[in-house]
Amino acid sequence: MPGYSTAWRGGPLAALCGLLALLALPATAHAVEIRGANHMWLDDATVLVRLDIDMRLPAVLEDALANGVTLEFEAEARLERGRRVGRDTLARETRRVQLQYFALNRHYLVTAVTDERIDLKPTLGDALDAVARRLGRLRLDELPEAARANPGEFDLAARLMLVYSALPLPLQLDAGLRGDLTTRQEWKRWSLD
Amino acid sequence: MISVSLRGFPWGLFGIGLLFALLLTSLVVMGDAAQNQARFEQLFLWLLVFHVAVLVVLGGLIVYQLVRMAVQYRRGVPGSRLTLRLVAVFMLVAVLPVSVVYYFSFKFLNEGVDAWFDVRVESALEDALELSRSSLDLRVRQLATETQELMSDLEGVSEGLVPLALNDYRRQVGAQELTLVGSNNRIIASSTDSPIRRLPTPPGSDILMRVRPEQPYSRLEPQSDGSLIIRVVATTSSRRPGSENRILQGIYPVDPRMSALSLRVQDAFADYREFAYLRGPMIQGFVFTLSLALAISLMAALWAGLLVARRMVRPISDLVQGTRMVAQGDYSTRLAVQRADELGFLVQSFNTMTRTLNEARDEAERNRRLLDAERAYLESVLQHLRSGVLALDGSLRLRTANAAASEILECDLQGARTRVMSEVGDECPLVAQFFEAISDALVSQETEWSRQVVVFTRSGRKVLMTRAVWLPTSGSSRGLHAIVFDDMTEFLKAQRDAAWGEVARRLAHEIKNPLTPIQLSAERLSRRLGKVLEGADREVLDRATGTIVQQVEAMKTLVNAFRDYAQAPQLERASVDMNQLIRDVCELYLDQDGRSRVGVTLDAGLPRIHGDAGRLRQLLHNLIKNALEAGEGHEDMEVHVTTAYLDDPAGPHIELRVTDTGPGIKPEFLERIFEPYTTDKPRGTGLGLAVAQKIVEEHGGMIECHNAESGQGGAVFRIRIPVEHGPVVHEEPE
Repeated sequence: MPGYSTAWRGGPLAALCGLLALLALPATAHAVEIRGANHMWLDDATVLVRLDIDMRLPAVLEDALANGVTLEFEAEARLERGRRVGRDTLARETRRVQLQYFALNRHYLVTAVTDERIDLKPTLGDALDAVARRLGRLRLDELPEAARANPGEFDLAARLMLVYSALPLPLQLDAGLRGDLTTRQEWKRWSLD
Repeated sequence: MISVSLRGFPWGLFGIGLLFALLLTSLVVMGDAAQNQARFEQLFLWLLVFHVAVLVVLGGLIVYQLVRMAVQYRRGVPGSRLTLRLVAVFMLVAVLPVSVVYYFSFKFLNEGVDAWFDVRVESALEDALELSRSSLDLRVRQLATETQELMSDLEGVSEGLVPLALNDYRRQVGAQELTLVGSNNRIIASSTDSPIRRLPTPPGSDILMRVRPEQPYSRLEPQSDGSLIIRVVATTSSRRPGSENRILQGIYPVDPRMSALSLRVQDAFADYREFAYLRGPMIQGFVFTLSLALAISLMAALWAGLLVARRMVRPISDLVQGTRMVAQGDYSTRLAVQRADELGFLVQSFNTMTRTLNEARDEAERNRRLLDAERAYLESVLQHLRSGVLALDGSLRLRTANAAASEILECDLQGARTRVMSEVGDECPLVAQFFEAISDALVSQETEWSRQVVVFTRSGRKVLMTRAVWLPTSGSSRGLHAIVFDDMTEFLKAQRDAAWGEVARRLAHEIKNPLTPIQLSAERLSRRLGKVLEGADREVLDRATGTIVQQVEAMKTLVNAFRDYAQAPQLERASVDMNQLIRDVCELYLDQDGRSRVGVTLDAGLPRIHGDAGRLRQLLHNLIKNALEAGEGHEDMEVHVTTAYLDDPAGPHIELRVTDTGPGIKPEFLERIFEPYTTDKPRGTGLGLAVAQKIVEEHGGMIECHNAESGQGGAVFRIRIPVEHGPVVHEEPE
């Protein structure tokens, strides 16, 4: 992997770009979006969260991808106890997937940060499908017994995001200044029941 | 102590210094980080955030200072205009170079970054990538052909022998793994060169969809360890009916050197493409950073300019404020000397000036008070002087006059200050006479002179003994006439009275003594010779001796009158009721019809006085007799006596007026009316009024005479005799 793309990370810049993005008024496009979500109990303490993800890259990201920029997506799922004020997060799981163009055989590489599995797809659509599949399944382990006993009191929440800080710094600044991208999607929540 | 030292600490300069030190440090760090990619990536973001924060802080400070300056400008605070002007100059000085730097930096960035990208380098990288692709594609096609042939060879091999055959083929073609898959992706057999037994991975569904008989699917795949493999999937159409289709998947390693070179070319190409793609955003980023840095520089310069301007102007504004205070008369203003430069010297000079002014004012105030005291003292002395004092300037304008001057000249001179004396003379006849008499001396500005001035009033003439000096102002043609004059009328009169008294005493002494022998001798001659002579001689003798005796008697009468005038008073004082005394005297002046020839108007509240009743009776007789004699020949002649009690600042006294309707007193007699022998009557000794004045003065009173104001003739004698107690009502008025 080229070291350049992974080096431009950092919270402050993300915050700065977020601030700049907030200041920018033009409408923004979502790189990823959860269309639907459900879950399935694997055992008494494990839930598999399944997300129906719509992967549609805006032109700026497609262009960046075609020009060698690595895109990184992150899915996050949580088990929360609903309260009047604030929420308790009882379990949390994240998954990150990278997408990049492999010029040597003109394919797209889909890799996960946490495992060595590589998907090689000839088209961008296939690659996005592969990304969606990888991000669309998250396991929440070691759930409290109360979740199984009274699932109505608990909520599942999930969200997807383009990892903004993984973009090259000039692109972060440019996108932040122009307001082309949003860094994250709002939480999607549904009951555990 | 600590708070005082903290207040005196130059926080503004400290802030400027700290800010510039931080900015310099950040620039040094940024410059150093630019040489080191890892550090640049690590620090850039924080530096960016820091600069934005500095920008915001500076913006806030500048807005605060500008608002404060605008408020001060609107309120007209001293120094605000100068501060505004200095800030404008600072801004101009800062903006011009920053604009030039910004323009050239912007141009350099655009052109410089574009110069990094060379068409030949890009083309070379594309060629290298294409070469790698071609090389690898050749190998992929070759392996695809071989794998297809292997698949054809395996067509007739039974499932029991397939593992052995796969093993042989794998060694033969140098494959990493050969796997034969049946229907439903069932693995029939597999052979691998790995010493670790690992479950083979069947081809994915996307691959299977692309595999056709005699058309193997092949592709180059990167591995997680950074190497490359070639995956070939081949199949044949089953020649035996009912038998399942088999698929052979071969995984072939790419030569490590070839793999490394190809990946390196691919990474370099990808980096270059990404770099070229990010050229625009990168320039924007640089411009953004440049703009940020220049904006910070500009705002820092502006802020520093504001602080420096305020610091520079502060002594000037203090001076302006101090000058205003001095202009308002506050000479105690002192400014704090906080600087050791020319402005500090100026402030120090201002303090010295105000101190000197303050001392001078105090001195002037002391002198003024001293002068006021001296003037008050002089005024007091002048007011209590019985001599009249006048001060006139060179143009004969009245500067000073005391009360005695006003009294003597019978004019309110103290209210006529700053007026020219000729104007005052128009209102006051005595003043006009007085200045007419001395004007020649005043005009000629004689250094020192004295003269006796006689002025005429209704009550007679006044003799004013006048002395004056001319006091020139040194170094100037102007000066002051100081005029002192005394009313010598009474003094001269008293001198005359004394002289007449002496004359009378001597006459009484020298003349009376021979009179008796003369009379006795004349009588003896008449007796002796009367017996001898007869006829005409007897008549001549009788006539001559009779004349002698008669004239001697007349001379005796005259001498007795002189004696009475010159005689020292032997008063027999007792309580006297003047009203009753007047009534008794008037009883003596009844005419043939029994009517009194003297009218009276008596004040019923008249108090008794302590006096000699006989002498007072003589006083009344003299005055009434004088009036009646003066009015002889006037048919309507009337004499009237009035009394009144007066209590004025001079003290309580009774006033006795004897008025007549006669011809009045000739003006030439008016001044000397109380002198002996002053009479225009054919008969009389001329001593009546002189004796009357003497009696009044014996009782501590005063007598004055003037003609009636009505202009119809008649004289008025006014006598005032002091009383020791207040009025006593004891009788109804007549």
